Amino acid sequence: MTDLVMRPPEQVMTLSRLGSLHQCRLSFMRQLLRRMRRENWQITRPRFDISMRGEGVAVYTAQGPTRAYSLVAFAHDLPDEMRSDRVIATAWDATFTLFDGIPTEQDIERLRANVPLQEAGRVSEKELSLSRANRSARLWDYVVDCLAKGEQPDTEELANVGYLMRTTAVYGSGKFGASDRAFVGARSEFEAPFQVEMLSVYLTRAFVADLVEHMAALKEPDAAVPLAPALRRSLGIGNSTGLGMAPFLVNHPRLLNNWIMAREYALAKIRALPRATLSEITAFKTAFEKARASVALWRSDHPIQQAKLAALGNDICALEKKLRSFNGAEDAPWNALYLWAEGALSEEGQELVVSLLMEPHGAVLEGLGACMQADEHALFRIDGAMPLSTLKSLIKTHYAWALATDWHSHDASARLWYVSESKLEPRLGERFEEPLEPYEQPLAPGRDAAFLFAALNETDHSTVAAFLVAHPEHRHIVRRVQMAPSHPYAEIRDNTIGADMKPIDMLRAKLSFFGATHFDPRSDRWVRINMFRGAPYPHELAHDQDDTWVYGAAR
Amino acid sequence: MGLWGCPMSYSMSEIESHCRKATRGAGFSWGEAEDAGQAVRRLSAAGLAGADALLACLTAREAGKVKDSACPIKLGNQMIDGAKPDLNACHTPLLLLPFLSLLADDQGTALSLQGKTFQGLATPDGGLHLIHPAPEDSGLRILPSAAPSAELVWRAECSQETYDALNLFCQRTYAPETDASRAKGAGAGEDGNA
Repeated sequence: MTDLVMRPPEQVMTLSRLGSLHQCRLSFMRQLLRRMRRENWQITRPRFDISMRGEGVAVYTAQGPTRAYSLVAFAHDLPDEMRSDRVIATAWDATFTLFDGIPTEQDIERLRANVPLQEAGRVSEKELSLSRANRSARLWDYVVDCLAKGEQPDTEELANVGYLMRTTAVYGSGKFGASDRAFVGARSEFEAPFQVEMLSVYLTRAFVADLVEHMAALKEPDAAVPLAPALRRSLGIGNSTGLGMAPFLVNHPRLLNNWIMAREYALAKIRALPRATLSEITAFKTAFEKARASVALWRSDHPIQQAKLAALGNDICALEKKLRSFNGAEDAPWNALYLWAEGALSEEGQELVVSLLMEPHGAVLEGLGACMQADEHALFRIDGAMPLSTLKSLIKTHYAWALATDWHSHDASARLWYVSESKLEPRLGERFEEPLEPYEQPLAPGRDAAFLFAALNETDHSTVAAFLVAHPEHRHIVRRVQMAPSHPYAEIRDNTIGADMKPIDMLRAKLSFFGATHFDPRSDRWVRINMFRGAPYPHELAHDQDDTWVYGAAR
Repeated sequence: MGLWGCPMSYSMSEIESHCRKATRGAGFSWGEAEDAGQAVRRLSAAGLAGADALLACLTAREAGKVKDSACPIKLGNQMIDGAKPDLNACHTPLLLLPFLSLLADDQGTALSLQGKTFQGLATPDGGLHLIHPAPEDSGLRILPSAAPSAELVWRAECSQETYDALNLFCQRTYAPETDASRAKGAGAGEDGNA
């Protein structure tokens, strides 16, 4: 076996590449559905009481081998003018919580008084998540009307949006009183990251499809029909994600490291394979064909994404040509294919190839999914005994890009992250135009590492402990620098406060690991995506053995 | 819920992040605030009134009654870094106790923290025991000790008053809304109703 060569963090951890990541076999949605299928989870709908006006409650219970989880969904009659995706919204078309177990009537009444209020309410240790969703104003009434008349909605119309409702926030671990992730983290069903949130969204999708059919049936009980299975399948759950999520990757360096490490390790293992079997090659080409069909459904009005999609379109043509002659005959054929992609394709295309390379190699990836979790509830411990000379050399090794940046230039430090008093949400400000600097959040590790380096050049102390007594302002960045050797992919190796930084790159990196598709930026700081598009519904899960649902059925 | 005087139940991540922000708001560095939030989390997990201890410390400091040399957050950070600070005087010594957990873990033995009045124990598995409380104390020492193993909980109890008082410190980390920030900051552009 060839030595494993992982792509270096300098190559992987740039914002432009992170902003070009695609979902892959390791994505959290796919891990969830594989487990539920493997363990034969039973999903039932013990309650569905929704009125003509679209108000009421529904419960979906997912029973696993040892425990059950229930999505408690509240449907509301929301006036159109109140429908907003922004975090300032105070009412939604539907609100949800994932309950740990099977709720009693009292639980539901308690939740009814709190869940619809979202941030203004309070949940308890029995709840694992809190979320809400809004209808697609474009599609909802249209689909209800079609179904009520006994007709199917137009395939093209559905494809253009891709969902009937979109979530505007899915709060997990410990938020608003919910149970801490670490509390349930030892359960095998939550060994991969974000399984609570993914389960909640998966059940939400089932609820939304049921609800649209229910509303049509209430409207015209005699004429209404359910959605045709293929159309139903083509609908995911939309999601609207804004700036608030961007700092997540910086605030969770160990988690980010483990996500990227798993992906890069998988790629390295695949590149090291000496040969490709015929069935692997066939599986790769099949996945490519499906991915091509999925990319064809990808719409965006935003110029940044339009340019990226144009490049991806060219990449797909080039890859298609390349694959015509790809028969795996050379040594380490997957490595050859990857190296070709690196030279011939844009970052969008390269990262698509990385994701596709994982499709035929499920066995190589075995066990990697669980490695993506990180036990972050204990802070990374600072090594106070470390000599400052060692700390300096760590900075030179892992923050070379930051040392090469002139942080005193306006462009390099143009922005800053802060939290606004009114929304308590992270925002991005213009450092030299607004008086925000006293409120700056520690979200510029590159700059802070460079400033630490400068301070180390001035100090007479010899150990980290002594230095930090005199300079506690560097404590947070010392922690990160010391993390680097054991967590090489923990840090975005790029400027997170520069004039040309695009928060959507950070959003996409995170959402791609969830398993999201069809990224549609609405500005440089918020993005719409689709989740579980093409996935089997609960009643289809057991029969559908295909793990490549994420690419959707080719049309 | 939330009746005046009744304890509220918070998740560990909520209490930790609230206390981290409050510590930052009180003028500590971000790195120090991270460790202070973690200290309150450890106290809370051991069923002790961590948030109240932090509030007492930050309030006294604000009133000029706590010098750096007697600040449990400063001393705690120095202790876990191995800087071996002088423990001649310490305000709210309960807040220093959770830092001992890490030393207990390093040394593989329970440690006791005792001064003239205060006495507490930290075990390597995260257990913390308060034997004699004291609002402030002097002549503190750390000694190897024996202690029962930890019984940890997953909810933090904290009164609404304490939480709100800490929130006043948190508020100082938030930027006041301006017209410019409203227009530029969130950048949502449209309300997403499509």
